[in-house]
Amino acid sequence: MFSLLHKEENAHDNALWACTWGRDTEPADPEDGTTEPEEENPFDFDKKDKRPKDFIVTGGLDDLVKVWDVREDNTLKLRHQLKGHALGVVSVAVSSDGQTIASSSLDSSMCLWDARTGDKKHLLTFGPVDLWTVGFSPCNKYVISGLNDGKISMYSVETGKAEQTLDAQNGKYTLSIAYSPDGKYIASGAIDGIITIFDVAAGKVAQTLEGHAMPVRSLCFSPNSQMLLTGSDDGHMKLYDVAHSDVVGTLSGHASWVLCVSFSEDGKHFASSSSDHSVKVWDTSERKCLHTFAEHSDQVWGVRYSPGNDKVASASEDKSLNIYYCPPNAIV
Amino acid sequence: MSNCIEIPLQDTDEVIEVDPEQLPDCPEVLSILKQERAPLHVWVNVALAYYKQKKTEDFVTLLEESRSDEANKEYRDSDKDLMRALDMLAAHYVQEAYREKSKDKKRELFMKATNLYTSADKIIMYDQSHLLGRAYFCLLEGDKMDQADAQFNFVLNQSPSNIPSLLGKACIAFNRKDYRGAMAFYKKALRTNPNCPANVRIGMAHCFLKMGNPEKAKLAFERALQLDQQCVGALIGLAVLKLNQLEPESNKLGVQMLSKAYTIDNANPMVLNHLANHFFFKKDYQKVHHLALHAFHNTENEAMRAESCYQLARSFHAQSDYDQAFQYYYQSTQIAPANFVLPHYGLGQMYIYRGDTENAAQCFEKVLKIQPGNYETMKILGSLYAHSNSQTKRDMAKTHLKKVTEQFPEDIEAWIELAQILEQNDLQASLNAYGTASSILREKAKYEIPAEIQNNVASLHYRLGNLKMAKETLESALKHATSEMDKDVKYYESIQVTMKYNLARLNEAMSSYDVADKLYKEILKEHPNYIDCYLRLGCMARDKGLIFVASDFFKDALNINNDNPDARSLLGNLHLAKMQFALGQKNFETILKNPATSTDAYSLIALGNFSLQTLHQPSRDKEKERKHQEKALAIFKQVLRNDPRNIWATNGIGAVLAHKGCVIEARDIFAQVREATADFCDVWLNIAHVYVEQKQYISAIQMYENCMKKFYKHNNVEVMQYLARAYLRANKLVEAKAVLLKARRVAPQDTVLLFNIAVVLSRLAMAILKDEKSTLEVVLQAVHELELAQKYFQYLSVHGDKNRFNIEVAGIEANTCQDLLSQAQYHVGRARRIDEEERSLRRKQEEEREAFKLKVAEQRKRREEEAKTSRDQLLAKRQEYVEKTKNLLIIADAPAEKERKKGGGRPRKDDYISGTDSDNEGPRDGERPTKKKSKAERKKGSGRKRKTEKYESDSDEEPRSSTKSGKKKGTKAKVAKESKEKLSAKQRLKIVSKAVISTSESESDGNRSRSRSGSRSRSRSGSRSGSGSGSGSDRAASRKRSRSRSGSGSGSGSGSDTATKRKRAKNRIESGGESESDGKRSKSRSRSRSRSRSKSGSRSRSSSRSKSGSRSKSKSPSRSRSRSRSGSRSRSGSPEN
Repeated sequence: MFSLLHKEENAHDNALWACTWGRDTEPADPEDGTTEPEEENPFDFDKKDKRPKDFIVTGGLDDLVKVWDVREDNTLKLRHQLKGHALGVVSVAVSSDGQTIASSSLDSSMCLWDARTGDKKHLLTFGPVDLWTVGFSPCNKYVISGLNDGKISMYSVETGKAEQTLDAQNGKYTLSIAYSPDGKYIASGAIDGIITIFDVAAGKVAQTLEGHAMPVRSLCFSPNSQMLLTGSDDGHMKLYDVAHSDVVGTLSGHASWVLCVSFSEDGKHFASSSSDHSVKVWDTSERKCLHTFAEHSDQVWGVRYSPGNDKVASASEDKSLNIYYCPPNAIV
Repeated sequence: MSNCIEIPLQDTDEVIEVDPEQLPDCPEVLSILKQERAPLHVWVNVALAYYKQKKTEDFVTLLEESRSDEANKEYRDSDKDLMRALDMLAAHYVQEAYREKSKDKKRELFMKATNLYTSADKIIMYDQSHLLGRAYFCLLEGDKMDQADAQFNFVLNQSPSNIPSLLGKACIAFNRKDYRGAMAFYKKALRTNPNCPANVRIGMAHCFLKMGNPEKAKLAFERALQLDQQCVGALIGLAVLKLNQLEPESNKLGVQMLSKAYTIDNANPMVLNHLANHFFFKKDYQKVHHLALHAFHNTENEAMRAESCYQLARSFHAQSDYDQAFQYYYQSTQIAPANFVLPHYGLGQMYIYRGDTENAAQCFEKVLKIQPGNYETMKILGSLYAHSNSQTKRDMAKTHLKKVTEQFPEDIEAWIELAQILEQNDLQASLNAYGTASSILREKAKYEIPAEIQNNVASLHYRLGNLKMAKETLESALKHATSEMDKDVKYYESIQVTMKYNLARLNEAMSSYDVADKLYKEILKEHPNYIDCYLRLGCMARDKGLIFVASDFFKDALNINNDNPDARSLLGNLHLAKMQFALGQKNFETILKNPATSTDAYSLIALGNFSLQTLHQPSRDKEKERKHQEKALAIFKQVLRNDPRNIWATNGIGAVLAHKGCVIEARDIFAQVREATADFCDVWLNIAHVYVEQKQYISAIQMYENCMKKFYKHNNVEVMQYLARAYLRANKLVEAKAVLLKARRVAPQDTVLLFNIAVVLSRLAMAILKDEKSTLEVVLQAVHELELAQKYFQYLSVHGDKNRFNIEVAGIEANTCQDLLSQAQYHVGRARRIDEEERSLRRKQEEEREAFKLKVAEQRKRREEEAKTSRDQLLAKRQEYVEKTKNLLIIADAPAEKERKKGGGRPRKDDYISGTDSDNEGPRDGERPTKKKSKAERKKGSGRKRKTEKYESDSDEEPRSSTKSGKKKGTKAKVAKESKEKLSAKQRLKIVSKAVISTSESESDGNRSRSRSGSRSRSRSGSRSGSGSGSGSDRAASRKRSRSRSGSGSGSGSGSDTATKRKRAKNRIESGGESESDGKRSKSRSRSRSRSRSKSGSRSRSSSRSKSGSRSKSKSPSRSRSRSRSGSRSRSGSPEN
């Protein structure tokens, strides 16, 4: 059943502001073997399995990006501690191949890191209000980020240069951004509650949704790219049909701002975190809350479903990083 | 009677015989007597004959005449006859007086009697019959019982079995409540004369009754009746006994006897009263009226008359002729003896009916005084006081009801009443009371718990924050109501609406807004006039930021009732939030123009806050400023006049004072408000602001932090900026930075925040650079941050929000940073040098240590080797020795070893230590020089720095002026400015004034939320009107109660009870809901004000909470609200009808 698997107290020295999962999809490198002290364990008979290696990336007010390996017993082992940001790390993202980590901080700088080695690949700095959250394109070639005026920029992972800019026209400060898994759309949520969906290929705005009247701090696409989930300061979440731009459902249950939302791999569930200190797991088709975790003692800034579909990680202002077990077949 | 009275004729031996049976006319006899100068005893005999024939007037005339000289008193024993005449006349007067109702006449008659007795006294003082007469006279006069007693005793001394005096003594004993003594006298009298009249038996019967022996009393009454078939007293006594058996059979018998007594003596008030009582229960009010009136006119005994009045009043009461009933109850209370409290009870009920709870309460207090344990009365008093506005009375109500529940732990009604009172200030206790009530219901009465109670319990849970429990209870209540639907469709439908509304509120509180939304809309579909639903929907929309949707809902509400102050104030708040001040103000003014809500505290405070707010927009016009201050003050004062405990107005006054610079006074006021309630965010902020003013930064910081923790789940940018400012002024730059960053995490677009961050960063960087001990890493970070600050300032100087601060300042700051940066390279270099030096030093140390370690190791090795060799040598020697002196072996061996240890071991150790010492010293010495160097450097650096400082201060000054202008434009900039200003003392002063402003600002916000409370008070006034209905229900209940007490059916009562409960239940529910709606309203307010100020609005939510917090104070409002709610209820009801 739903349970707390692990609580990493004081994961950072100060508030945690972002978290995400990563997965090494490639078979274990020889390099991996050397860096993994675990594998020296002669009793680890599972090591021959090509068990994908999951890790969690967190960022926080202490300017650090930390990479944690998730062990078999769900405890965490710090792999890297990446320095280079100032004023607090606002968002982190991992490419789908688990190779690259992108992070952004309040000083409007974006870093690209090699997930394995922890080397800083690029450091991009911007104007004071020209960077907020970052996200990878499904092809892992680009990092996207929203700008102050509603524009979206795409930066090449390789070169660190801006390659394309999408303009929402008269947009407001972009607080959240998401790339659809099929690569067709980019959605952005602004501080005035307006959600813009861009058609990437055409480079134009596909739809504008006036779903909320308050800041949209998080949004994400369903794995099949057909639905868009948004979370706002009004305490509500909304599910949209991307193709028809219809509101499929409005979900309420959080007593304060919804800070982060995340779909599970199979799209059946999604998780949300809020200023009310809670993490909730929802059923997508029923649009009902399946479970509420109240394990944090402060705002929960980040929540993410694991690539394995059965775990959820949450990062909170209370400096702790939690991992929960969420049965993939749970129903309302 | 055959013995004729002979009147001797004067001067002859003839006599005129007068047959006492056929007395001639009085004048005739009189003239004969006069003519013949008949001796006195003849007069007396004749008079007596007249008396026996009940011709009392003739009797009086004769006796009066006899006193004149007409009668012949010149014979032997004429004295005795004279005595007889006098006594007889006196006794007659006494009797007459006893019967007389008019007091004047009575006194006259008594006077006459007294005169006669005194003249008789002069003749023969100690004549027995004279004394007896006198004694009875004294007895009748009422207050001379002792005298009478003495006279009886005198007579008894002379003749121990004098029956009249025995009876007199018995009577005295009875009146003195010495029933045993009375009994003894009666028995003695009976023994002396077994054929005593029936009255003696009746006396005994009464004694038996008083002694608690109704059986014997009954026998005595029956015996009296045997003796005298017509004995009314015995009949009444028996009838009362029968009636008291409370059985239909005996009742019937009793009534028969009463009727018999009535036929015998239809003027006996006692009979009449008892019959009236009987007919009252027969509901034959006509007869009651008749009989009681008759009784009233037939007695001058006040107790009797009081009872008659009471009977009359009761019949009118039962016939719902409350005016008449009131009159008679009143009359009855005026004449009733102290322990006859029933008329007070009735009068109390009438007062309740008239809505005069003051007097009603007095009446019931009287009842309670006589019968301290009477729980009916306590219950009524409890419910009367429960609705009082005064806290002490409500406390009394609580104690009364508690007593009731203690005495009768199964009185559900009392439990419910108690629960209702406790609802005001002790939610948990109230909940417990409800719990008891419902368990009694379930277990003892085998009733389902009524939906109303469940609903109330749910609303209590809700207010206590047990949302889950509340929901469960409410859902079961709803189910219950649905199952009962067929009993009374209209009623259950109406309570179902209420419960639905409550459920919606609950869902709202549980953040299930979608469910709440659905429920509200369902209610509206059925009852399109349910204003509260519109308001809630509007509030929810507002909280979602959908201002226009919200405004539409509020306008819908206004369409239903254009005078609804809640809807209007919500609308006004929306306007204010949208910065449409004129429109908002107009809304509040409209409310105040409506005579029904002309003292609406909420609107007043909103206007007061508006004035306060205009104060924050700096203007050079001192005059205007003062005018606004005065206006705000006047408004708050007005509110306080209406409601001396309005914390919002109090807070507003504190804000005005702070604005005027009376910080200490303001702080006192805020502290008081804070004491009254902890659930009022603005006060916390204001107190913290004051702390900042007084430079008690630590306290201020604590206050801000607690406030944030308590009132906000999410990062509140406004409070965080306050907090950052406090940190900055406390010179805790790192904390200030963290706080500001946290704020920025939430509001990245906020340029003011950006500005503040830049300020803090540059300050921090400067501090770090100045600090020579800063490590390279820290210095590098500082430089980076300085760069950022410069970047921010530069950005702000172009893109800054011109309405909120002066962007020129940003430009200047940017330049400052630029300058600093150029100097920073020096610091970096220095830090790097130090860093490198340190590193090399460390390396050197490390190396030296390594070398030393090696050396030591070598030494040790060497020494060990030496030791080994020497030991070997020793061993070898010893071996030799041993072998040489085998006998001494054992003794010699041990000491030798000891010595060896001392010699070898210790030195080694010492060497080691000293070695390390010397080693350490080397490095230390080496370090010292470097330090000195760095000091020198520092001096150089500081010189330079001083320069930079100057720079800063210059730049600061400029900002200062800019701040002024900035302030004018926007309040937020203040914080930024203040933080900037930190440096110079002058600046600080300025800051102070600014801080005041900001304080007041926040306060004003608070006020707004407070004004919420105002709305509450409004509802209170509404409740007043509503109280009528409430008292009505009470009345019904009480009436029923009184009836039941008198013995009428107990069953019928339950109906009315439930009715009252129901009503109450409704009220309650809504009260819960309403308070929340208030809170929400306020919230919306805050929202619209993009400012953190708006936050205060959210605080308002706390206002609902504040209810509980300020309970003691504002409790009454909340209660009243609930009542007013009932008003709304009726509204909602109308559609159903």
